[in-house]
Order: sequence, then structure tokens, then C-alpha cells
Amino acid sequence: MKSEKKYLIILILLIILVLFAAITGRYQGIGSYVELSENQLLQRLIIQVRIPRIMMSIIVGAGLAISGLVMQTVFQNSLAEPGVLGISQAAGFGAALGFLLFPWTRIPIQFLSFASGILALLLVLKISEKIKGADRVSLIFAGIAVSALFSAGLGIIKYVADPLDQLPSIVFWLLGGLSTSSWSSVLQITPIAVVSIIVLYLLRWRINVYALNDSVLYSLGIRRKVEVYLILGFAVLLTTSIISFSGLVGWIGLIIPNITRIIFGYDLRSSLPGSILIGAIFVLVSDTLSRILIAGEIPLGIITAFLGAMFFIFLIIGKGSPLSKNG
Amino acid sequence: MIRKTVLIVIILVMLGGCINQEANNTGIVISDALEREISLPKNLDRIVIAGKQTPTLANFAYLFDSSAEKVIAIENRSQSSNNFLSLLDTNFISKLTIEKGAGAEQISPADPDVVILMTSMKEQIGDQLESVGITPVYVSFETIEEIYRDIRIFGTLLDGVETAEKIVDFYSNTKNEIDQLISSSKTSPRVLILQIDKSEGNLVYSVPSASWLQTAMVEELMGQPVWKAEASAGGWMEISIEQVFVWQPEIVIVVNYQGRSVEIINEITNNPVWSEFLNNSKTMINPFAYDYQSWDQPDPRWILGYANLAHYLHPEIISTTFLYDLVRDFYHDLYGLEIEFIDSEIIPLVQLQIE
Amino acid sequence: MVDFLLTLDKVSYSYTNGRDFSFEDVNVNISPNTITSILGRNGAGKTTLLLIMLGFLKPTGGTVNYFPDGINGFLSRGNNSVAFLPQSESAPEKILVVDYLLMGRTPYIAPFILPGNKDFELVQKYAELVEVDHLLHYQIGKISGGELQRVRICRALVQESDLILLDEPISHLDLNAKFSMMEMIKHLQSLGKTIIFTTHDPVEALDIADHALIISNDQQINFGLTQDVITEKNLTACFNIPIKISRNKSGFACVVEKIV
Repeated sequence: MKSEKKYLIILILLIILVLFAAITGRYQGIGSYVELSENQLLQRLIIQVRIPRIMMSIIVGAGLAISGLVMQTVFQNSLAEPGVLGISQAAGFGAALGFLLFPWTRIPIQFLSFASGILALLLVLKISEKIKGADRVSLIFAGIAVSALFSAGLGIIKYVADPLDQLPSIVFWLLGGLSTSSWSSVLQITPIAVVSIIVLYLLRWRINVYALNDSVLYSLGIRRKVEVYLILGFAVLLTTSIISFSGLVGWIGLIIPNITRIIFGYDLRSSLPGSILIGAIFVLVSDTLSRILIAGEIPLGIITAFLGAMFFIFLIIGKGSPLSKNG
Repeated sequence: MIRKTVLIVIILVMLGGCINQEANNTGIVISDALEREISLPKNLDRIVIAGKQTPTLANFAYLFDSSAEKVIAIENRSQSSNNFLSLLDTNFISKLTIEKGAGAEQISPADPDVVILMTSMKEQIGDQLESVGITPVYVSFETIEEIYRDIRIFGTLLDGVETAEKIVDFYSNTKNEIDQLISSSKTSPRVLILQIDKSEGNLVYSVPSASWLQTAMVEELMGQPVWKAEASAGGWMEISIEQVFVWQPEIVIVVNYQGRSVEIINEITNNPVWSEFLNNSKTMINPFAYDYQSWDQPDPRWILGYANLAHYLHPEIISTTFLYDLVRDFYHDLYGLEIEFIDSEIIPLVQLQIE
Repeated sequence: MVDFLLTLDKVSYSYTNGRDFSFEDVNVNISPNTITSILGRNGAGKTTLLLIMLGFLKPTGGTVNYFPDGINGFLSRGNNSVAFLPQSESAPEKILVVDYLLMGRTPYIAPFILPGNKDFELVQKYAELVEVDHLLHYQIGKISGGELQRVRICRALVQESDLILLDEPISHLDLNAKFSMMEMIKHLQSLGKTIIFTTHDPVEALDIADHALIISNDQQINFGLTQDVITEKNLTACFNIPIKISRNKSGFACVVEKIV
């Protein structure tokens, strides 16, 4: 089946899910479209509450999926993703710091979140260089260390610096959620996210080339250092701007690229746009479940972890697993 | 012969007196919230309050006059009661010497005779303390019955057994009075107690645990706590705004622990979704009153919260005048504050109405 | 018409790889359309020298010069890029051959652009030339070692550079693949390319190289015409065992002289 056809099918699926999510919720549930024209409250709920939330979930899904895909390709490691490399945790740390120091405006939060993410990236690169032995694993080890560092940092901020409980709870940071989505949050996050996604989308063929050795890239005229930092920088920006709002929603950058590659192949020309769609669907479904299953809100991170872990197990033990020999 | 007998009797009486004296000096026995039988010496001079919810425990402890002397150190948690408790004990702030999350090591330098802890702190701190020879006493204050029991425990510890009874009488009499008054009411409204937190511009909604005091109070006042069936057994449960409308509450009472309920209510009445709902459903939305603390918690002010709820649920029976009179009686009888002071300093703090 | 495509002028370079190495005062002139082999024992520094010629490693002294556009020439798009095939490549095994070959077009494709028709056509043309066009839609991981080598050479062709550097292209192949690879390298020469390749087998140099460069044990460089440089005396010194060169109709052979 040609790629274009696959896109179309998945896009249609996404649109159907969006419509479904818009008319589904605790209030009036499914099948309430009949009431739609008469029930003003339902209309307002859909417009003011559900639709912004749906948009946020699409951005979160697409953004984190692309981020993971780019990192996996650049590092030639199918376990790489912002959460594994500690970048997500750093984003949470930076955002918490921003909250604490500048509670009246959002801009420092985004900035500190991004700065922490970049710091985490640099740390991971530096540390993994120093680890002898298998290249592939060294990145993961470095990521474990860095993510533990920033998680601990978040814990310290929450425990020591926040006796008045001003910050969102640490549970929120560690498990994530989109329950506070509103049109203003959409306006704050969307520009940065969309710009980053567009940049990475335009570079999608180029990123493929990073599969080759450094010396070969040099021969092909790629100034590796500059370009790689640019590409990773946008991936980090994308990740941190999302996580500073949604808290730590994990597994998406790990699972979605692997699923996307099964469907669309390894070439980023098709797998990058594919991961946008599939990531969006995954988080849209997860978030819709998180707000309709029970009266209370289930933290989004729990649902993505549950679904993600199931997929992960299937991926690593299934036949023809893409994790077996990625290169 | 008679002289010998008298001598023997006198000696026996004196011996008996001595034994009695001995018994008097062996101290007190408490049965605490975990049903532990604890023997303690009679005059406890060094009482420490630690673990979670120390502001609640301190507020209860300071119902007793001797606390200013006997309570020597308190774990430093939330700041909200500090202003109030400083009124009762000028040295209060200086007693906050124990850091948040302290263990046996940080507590033992205070050399306590006894440490008061919530029951939930047993594994974390209580057992540790026992292993170094410090006696913990557990309280829980989770239901009305437990409040009465735990006040009596405090009375025994703080040498105020009679005071404890007075306090319990105040509570039970007031509650009975309110219950009596509202028993004639025919209404049983659907009530929602909703905590609304505002963090960086976004509102987070949550409902109390099914087993908590707030839920029980609503039921006692003949209201229907709409969240009870689906609430979690643990703490506050976050919900989305949609769920509020699913429950179709007739009365919504907004709790906010930073004292911002009135501000938040004003904000949401302008919100397109809330305004649509409020306009169409005749639902009343009120703030849960707050002076130094929110009145919804297990805290000495719970009875004020009870009256507050009664006023919202049965406004034609329990008026605001009743409520303000109760506030005066409460702070005067239980904390010994002057009426002029209450009128000038406390009543204005009470956020009861929205303009 | 230039005399030399690439020169190393008094180049020196030090590095540590278990022990200290340094190249001192290396002077090499590569003429256009020639095949040069770099010969040395394993670990002598052949790859290092090749990377210095590529420009990936910068010499600590002296200069590396490219003609006609100088050292920056090959950083821009066009014929002056230098093609490089490392000893082992980390190409992801599930990439299709055609997509791998397209990567050779990178110098000609601006960062935010996708490969276009011209790029596809060139890939097709060179794939046919090298006879790998039937493999275009296979995954890299699914083709044989010999086929993969041809595909990699094809990538160098697709890059349309004048200079092609190969790191041990023949060493690990079995006999028939060796033969076809040597034929391939000569074929590249006939297409006008200049080739430099490394090897530890003097026979490869003797068979196809016009010029040779031997790295001795103490990093001394001996460069010149193959027949002048690859002598029994130099080989024996280089490999530390007595070597005899013999020749028959089919080609060269190098034999270790046994001491009976």
C-alpha cells in the first residue's frame, strides 16, 4: 500500500476520533449529538473545554512523537526519547523552578524549561562520550543518570522550596495531565510547537542522512556539529514547551516512532509525518479515556504508560521486532 | 488494748494513705486513637507536636490554656494558622523548631515527654520514636466522634480534663441545637463541596474523600453529597468541570485553602461555561467560609463549618446572625478572646458572602 | 589541467591509540585520475592518514590542499566534494538501497529540500552502471556482503565527486568478490575518478595501484610509483618478515619466505 493511501486512512481515523472526542465526555456522554442544538451548556462545554483539550492532546502526541523519532534517528538508537534521556524530567524541573520564582507570568517557565532541557541534553552527550564500551548503551546509561538527577531536583524543589504548596503537586509533574487545558493554553503552546514541528518536518530527509558515520557526513558536506545541535535543539524546544504545560507524559517518544516505522518504514520522509498522525491519535485516545472512564481524572501519564508498556512488550518480543537490529 | 487497736488503725490508715498517695503519683493512663494503652507521668511539661497536619493539632492543643507552657516544639508545616496562634501564645513562632518531615533524630533533641502524632504517621515517625524511648500518642480527628475522643485525650495530656468536657459540650450542644432546628426542614438539597485551586491561571477542581468530615457533615445536615458514590477513598479527587454538571448539584460550596474562594467564585461566574450552567439551573454557589483557616477541615472550627453548611443548606432556618453569634461564642468560650477583639479582628476576616 | 588533485605539504599529526603515534613531515602529491594505495600493517595509521586527506582530521602542522578550489571547495555542493567509504558503515539495516544511494546526493540538496527527479535519475543511472539496479528496493540488511560493497561504491559515484577515498574496500571480501572489487576500482578510474584506498595486502597495490604509499613501523612514509615503492626490501621492513614478490601471467603474489 502506498504511503499516501496510508496517510489518508490514518488522517481520516484521526478526524473521526476528534469528532468522537468532542461529543464525548462525562456530561451527556456519547450519542448526545441529538441534544447538541438545544443544549447550550453542552455546546459551551464542547467549545470551551473539550476542543482546547483535544487540540492540546494532538499537539502533545505529535510533538513528543516527532521528538522521539528525531532523537532515535540522530542517535541511531531506538530506545532514545526525551524521557529516557532525561530531557523530559529536566523540562519538569525547569518549569517548577520557573513557577516558584516567577509565579505571575508564564514566559520564564517556558524559558527555564527549555534551558534545563538543553542542559540535560548536553550532560547526556558529555557523559555518554566518557563511557567506554558499546556506544548504543552508553547513551541510555547517561540518560538514566541525567533523568534521575533532574527528577531528584524536582523533588527537592517541591519538598524544600514549596512549603506553602504553591506549585502544582509533584504527582502532577510526574504523571502529567491535560485537565487544565483552555484556549489560552492552546495559544501559549501552539506557536512554539508548530514552528518546531515545521522545522523538523522540512528537515526530514536530511535527518535520515544522520544514520551514516560522522566521517561520511563530513564528506557529504554536512557540518555535523551545527546541524545536529540545531535539530536536537528544536526537538528539545518542542519537548520542553509541551512538558512545561502537561507535566511528564511518558512513553510516547519511545513507542510511537517504533510503531510508525512498522507502518511507514524507516525513511523519515514518510515516518515523520506518519508519527505526527499516530502520536496525535495515541494521546487523543489516552486523554479521552483519562477524562471519561471514571468520575475523577486519571493522570494522563498513567494511561500512556499502561498502553505504552503493553506496546513496548509486544515490540521487544514480537517477531520482526524493529528493536532487534536497527543500526 | 484499745490504745493498741487505735495505734494499729492509725498506722493502717496512714499506710493506706501512703499507698493512695503512691497511686496518685503514678500518673495517667491514656487510650489513644490506635487503642494503645499508654501510661504517662502526671505532669507532662514537654509536649511536642509533629508529623503531618501539625497546624490542625496545634489549633486543637491551644484550646487548652496550659499549651503555652507545655507545648514546647511544633513541626513547621503550613503557615496559615501562625497569625492566629500567635495571638494565644506570643512565643508560638519560636516554637516551630522542628523541620518539615523530621524523624526521631530531629525530634529527640527537644527531649519530649510525649509526642502527639496523627495516626497516619505511625510507620513513618511513631515507631521510630518508640524505638528510641520516646512515647508517641496518636490522634486522628477524622469524624465527629473522633474529634470528641481526641479532645479528651488532649485534655488528659494537657492537664485540662474539665476543659475538655466543656469543649465537647460546646460542640455537642451546638450541633444538637442546629440539628434540632433543621429537623423541621423538608428540603434535602443536592450538595457539592468543590475545592477549586488556581495555579498559574488554570483552575483545578477536586472533591473530598467519601470518608471525610466534609462528606459526613453534609449528610448529617440532611443534604445529599453528590460526589460520595464516586469519590475515592483516599484524598481529594481531581475531576473535570464536566463532572460538576453531571452531578447536577443544587448548592455548590467552593473550598480554597489559600482563602481565595470569593475571588474564584467571582471569576468563574464570568466564565462562559459556568455562567451558562448557573443561569439555567438556579444552582447556588457559595464560598466555604474562611477566617484564619478554611472551616471545612477537621479543626476546632469544624463546628463553625457545620453551621456554615447548615446556613447554606437551610438558609431560612439558620441565618447569618446565628452564624456570627456562634463565631463570637466560639472564640470567646473556647479560646478566651474578648468580644471586642473578635468583632474588630476576626469577624471581618470571615469570607461568607459574595458581593 | 591541474598537476595534482590533492597534496599534503609537510603535514604532521600526532595521536594516541594505545601508544603515541605521530606523522612528521609527510609530503604526498596525488595526480588526477590515478589510483593510489596506502599500505601498512594493522594499526599503522592508514585510516588516520586517509581521514587527514579527507579533511575530517586536521593536521597539527603543514597543509592539505585541494585543487582547483582549495580546501573549502568540497564543502560546497558540486564536483569538489570528496567521496568517502569507511571500513564499516553504520547504515540502518532496514533502509532501502535506493534511499541509501540518495544520501550520496546530499551535497547537492539544500537542507530544507527533498531529493528531486534529477537525483532519482542519477541514482538510477549509476545503479545501472554498477549493476545494482535490481537491488534498489531491497533493504540494506538483506543483500550480500559483495553486493553491499558495490552499493557503497555506487553511493560514491552518485556523489559525482572527482576524488574517492576508500578505507580497506577489498580486505574483508572473499576471493571472487575481491576480484570484482578490484575490477570495479579500475572501472572507476576509467570513468575519470581519482581513487585512494587503504589496504594491508600488498598484492592489491601491486595489481591495480599506480602510486603507493607505505607506512613503516615508525610512521615513516614512503610515497611514489608503485613499482618503486613496493619492493621486497620495503615490504620486509614494513611487515617485519621476509617477503618475496613473484609475478605470473595473471597477477602478483606475495609470499613469505620461509627460513628452512
